Amino acid sequence: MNDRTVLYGRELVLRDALAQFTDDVIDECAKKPGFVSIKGVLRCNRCQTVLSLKQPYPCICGKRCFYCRECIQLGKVRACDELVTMTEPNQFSPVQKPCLKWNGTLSQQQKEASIEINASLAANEERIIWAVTGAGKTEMLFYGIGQALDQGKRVCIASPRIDVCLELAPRLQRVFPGISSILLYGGSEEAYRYTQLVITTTHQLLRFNEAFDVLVIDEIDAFPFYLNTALYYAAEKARKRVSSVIYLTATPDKETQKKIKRGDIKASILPARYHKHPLPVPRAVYSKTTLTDGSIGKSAVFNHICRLIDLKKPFLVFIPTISLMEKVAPLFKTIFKESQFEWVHSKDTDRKEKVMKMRRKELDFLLTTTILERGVTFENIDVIVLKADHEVYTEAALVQIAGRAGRSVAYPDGEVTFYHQGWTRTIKRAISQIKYMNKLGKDKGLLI
Amino acid sequence: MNRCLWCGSSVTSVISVKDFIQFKIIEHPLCEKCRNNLNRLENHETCKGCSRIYSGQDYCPDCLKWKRHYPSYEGCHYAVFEYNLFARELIEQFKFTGDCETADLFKKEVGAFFRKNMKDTIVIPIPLSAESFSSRGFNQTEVLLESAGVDFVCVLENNYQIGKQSRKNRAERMKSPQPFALSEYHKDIVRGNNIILADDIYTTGRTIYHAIELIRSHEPATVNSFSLFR
Ligand SMILES: [Zn+2]
Ligand SMILES: [Zn+2]
Ligand SMILES: [Zn+2]
Ligand SMILES: [Zn+2]
Repeated sequence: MNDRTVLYGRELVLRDALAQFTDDVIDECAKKPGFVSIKGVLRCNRCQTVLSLKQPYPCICGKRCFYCRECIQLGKVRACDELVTMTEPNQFSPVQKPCLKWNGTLSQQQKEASIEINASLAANEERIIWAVTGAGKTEMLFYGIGQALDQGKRVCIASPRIDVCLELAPRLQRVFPGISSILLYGGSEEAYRYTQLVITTTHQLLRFNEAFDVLVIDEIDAFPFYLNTALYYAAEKARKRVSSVIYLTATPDKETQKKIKRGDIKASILPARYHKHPLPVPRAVYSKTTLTDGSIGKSAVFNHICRLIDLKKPFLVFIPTISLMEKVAPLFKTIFKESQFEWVHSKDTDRKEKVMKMRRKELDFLLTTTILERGVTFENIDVIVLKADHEVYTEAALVQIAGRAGRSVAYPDGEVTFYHQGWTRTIKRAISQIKYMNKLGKDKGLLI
Repeated sequence: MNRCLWCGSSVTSVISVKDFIQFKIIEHPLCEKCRNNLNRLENHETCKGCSRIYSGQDYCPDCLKWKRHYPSYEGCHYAVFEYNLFARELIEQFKFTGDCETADLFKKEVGAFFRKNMKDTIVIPIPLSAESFSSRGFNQTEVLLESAGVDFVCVLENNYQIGKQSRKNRAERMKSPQPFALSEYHKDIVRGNNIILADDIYTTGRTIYHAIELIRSHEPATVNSFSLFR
């Protein structure tokens, strides 16, 4: 209680702060209103979202007040609330330099990117890292982060996905053993404390205010488009006025690709995988089967699956929606009676176990929704996408899905097939993005 | 494009020709998937006493126990949805996170219930303890009724203290003393009138039966009770 360091660079609702701090500490805080009116439009001052409520509700203050629905999971911000913060002083205990304890090696392209990242951090500028799936993007950040921490800078690594944060935190704690760090996400048991290194879900960034000298944001493409502005606002708010932001992506959207090509933002492009083999280029195949009736038995999809089963080649089958999955899975049970397979989706509580079974090679194949689009790697697999023209598959999603194949050094190849009922711009763009990266890798001499 | 008030996914409204002709297009605030997670009790066989999903006999064992406790009570408890896992999530968001707009999700069903079954009946919401009210800032039952456009009168006081109801175990809750009081000033509202008590959830029935007991001591014509979830 009353530990003022937890206010450094943080933004709290005054009402909540009053329960934790004595008046003299509260008096030292900078304050701002919970809501602001800009040109007659009310916005939440924590997340800048335009008020969505049609009417105010009975409030803790005794009157009726609006509140923000958008960021309510971080604690309710009411129109009668104030937000408080204390300036970030970079008050960390000195570390033995260098704080980075890692003796791995970087590939040629990782080395180059690492040098560029260091330069951007030193110059407090923004940089985007466009690294293909399997390029090893975390390792090339190590030196830059280490250098910043040595200089007493406060560093944050944010990802939209909890899975990524959970995997990243122990890796970073291992290579920076002397640095205080914390992992933040909704539902975490650990109470917030003031640390030099912060690993967090992007949502939690809204709880900071001008806190970080270095902010790394992973998987900026994982956001649906309508959430992008909220993300950029959260990042702008959490970084210091003079600071550096590094954006990581494997599949930048069209706008970002344009910005990179025009040179509007400094970029490091890593077109080659760590194992120096090119990315598997998807094959697009027209298939008119609805997947849910007898027509599937005569389709190219069916023949393809039979062939892979005969070859004993493990594979993933992507299906766009849970409802289609629920129709296809029982049908597959009847037509592929002899085969071992499972199906997973976001609502599946046995997801982890089924993925492990696939990893242990106990399954012939795995049916999945886009839930396995990112992060998960399997050795030596082929990838089949059904209804690749469905709207859930964005360009980024298709590139990520294709990126599941050929990940390991032992099996750098893998076949990727997009079955579709209409050749969409999205499919075309995804394939040309993959080809572009392969060409770049080849031109730079990074591929075998 | 409209987004589901609960999960944020886009809502494509299904419009029947009849609705279209009558310009009666009311967008449901929930997407189809979320709507299917809510389980309407009217589609099931339920206990005549408390509306829980129950078949075989008219009254569930809990209600039989209450009948021994209050032998002369003839009212019953109405509820709209089963209190399942999804309902628990919604209530969590509504009461504890404080997202009052969650009430909008039920306004259609709650409004329809009172308009259809409770004409000439005075609706009295169960009040929160002072402690819960000051930490929450609102009574979820009042917000529910208000969103549904149901008139109600707040005549009960809740003098309950120490500890929170939701943290108690069942046995502790069952023997808790009468927490409610009706102020002198409001006694006339009850006498000779039809009363329905309203709450958000019915769990053990202890809370509602305390309120029923108190109301009955002031000679109403009838007393029944209602909750959104059972
Ligand atoms: Zn907000
Ligand atoms: Zn207020
Ligand atoms: Zn929904
Ligand atoms: Zn019953």
